[in-house]
Amino acid sequence: MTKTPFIHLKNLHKSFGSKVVLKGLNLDVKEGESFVILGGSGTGKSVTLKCILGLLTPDKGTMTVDGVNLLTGEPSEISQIRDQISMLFQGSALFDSLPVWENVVFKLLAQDKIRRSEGRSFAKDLILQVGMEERVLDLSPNELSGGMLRRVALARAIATKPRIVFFDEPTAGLDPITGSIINGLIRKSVDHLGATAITITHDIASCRQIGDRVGLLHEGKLRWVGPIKDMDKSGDAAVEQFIKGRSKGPLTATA
Amino acid sequence: MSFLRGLGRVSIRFLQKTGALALFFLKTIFLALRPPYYPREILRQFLDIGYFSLPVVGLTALFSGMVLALQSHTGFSRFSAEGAVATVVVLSITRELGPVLAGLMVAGRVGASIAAEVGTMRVTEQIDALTTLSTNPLKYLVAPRLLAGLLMLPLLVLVADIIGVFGGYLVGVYKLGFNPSTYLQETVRYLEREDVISGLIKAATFGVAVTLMGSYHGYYSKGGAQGVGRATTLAVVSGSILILSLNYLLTAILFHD
Repeated sequence: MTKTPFIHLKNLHKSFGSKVVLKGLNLDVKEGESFVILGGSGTGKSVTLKCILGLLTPDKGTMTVDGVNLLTGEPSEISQIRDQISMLFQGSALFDSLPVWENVVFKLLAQDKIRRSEGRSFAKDLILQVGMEERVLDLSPNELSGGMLRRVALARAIATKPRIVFFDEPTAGLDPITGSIINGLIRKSVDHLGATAITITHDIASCRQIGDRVGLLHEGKLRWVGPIKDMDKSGDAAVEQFIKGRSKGPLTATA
Repeated sequence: MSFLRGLGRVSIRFLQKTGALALFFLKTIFLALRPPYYPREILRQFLDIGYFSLPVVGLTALFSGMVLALQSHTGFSRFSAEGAVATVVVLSITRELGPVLAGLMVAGRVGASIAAEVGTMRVTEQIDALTTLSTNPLKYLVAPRLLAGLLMLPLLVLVADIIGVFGGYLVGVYKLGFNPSTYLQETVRYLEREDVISGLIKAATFGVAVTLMGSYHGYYSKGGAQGVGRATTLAVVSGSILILSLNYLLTAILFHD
């Protein structure tokens, strides 16, 4: 693991009309690190990831990934960097019109990295890796349970062996046992790929299982950043309030 | 003053929306011309927009042709011009009713379905997922639908023309007592190639209009199920209005003397 920030966000601002979401967010993530952004609903966690992915454009600030400035860099360099990023979406975001196997190898097929005739067997290996049976390959996403959807989405996210993986609320809506299994799979996959990961969640158990370091997002900025093991003794009233789930404290519900 | 301010606000909003729609359309065309192409997705849209619209378009054409024969016979009998029924049916169907009715039926069936499908993909982040999977959503989702609208509507209208004329023939021969061969001779006597071609040009334009409105409203839908519902309604209403206004414009251009 190198010590230079691989993902570097500086003074990031983003507003939607009069609603200010990010107010000068700073974030450094080292290569190969698993970073968790904790925060309540509506605090701008997803917005942060969407800015890095290019799905949203920040109003102000700098975003650098592997030395490439994502706002002012060469378009070819930027698309090369973004091509190395995968994302597991909160609702899985699998394509309803395609069977599971095509969802899993969608990007590989789109980029002509594999032939269509190889797609199914390629997807089978990935599906087995995430603990599912071969029989799901030909099912439609709407025939799968929440936990299965998340596994398929994870298989899709790691199919291209990305250098960077984003996880958006990977355990939202899952029971604690399934959530724990998904967290374990995420950690295993990230370690296996040697990828840099950013997970956004409000699930403390998920945070402990997946992350190396954690930051608490509050009022558009990271309020506290530190190793997961220091989270319980952070000395920060907001972190303590979040961990213990207390309604009284510096954090207020925004959504 | 407040009236003028309101009028100005509405005008600016209209121009903004029109500009956004034009940019959406041009961007899609620009992307559609460059590889990669998505033949499977294009084929799926051809089937969905063309083949699966056949029953509804065919039935509409059949009954329209039948009603047209009945109505024109009732009207023309007042001044002893019943012989013109076959000509009126074929010209009305090929020039106007075929493309317009097929367009409106497709706007209801396909425009709504495109807006609902693309809108659901938007609110469930499937469109964002496409972007992260190195696939341009306009190219993958919108371009195949526009192409299918452009090519399938003329084919549908061609079928609708035949079925509509056949509907008129059924009523003319079996209800109004025309001689079958005379009816057929009258059908083709005044029909010119331009009558059919103008209808097909209209159909291609309506096909693009309907798929464009469905895709545009679906693509920019927001606010969950309610937003998708709103997008579906807007797609059908704006698609239908666009068909009727384009029909006038095209008729004025194609049939000016």
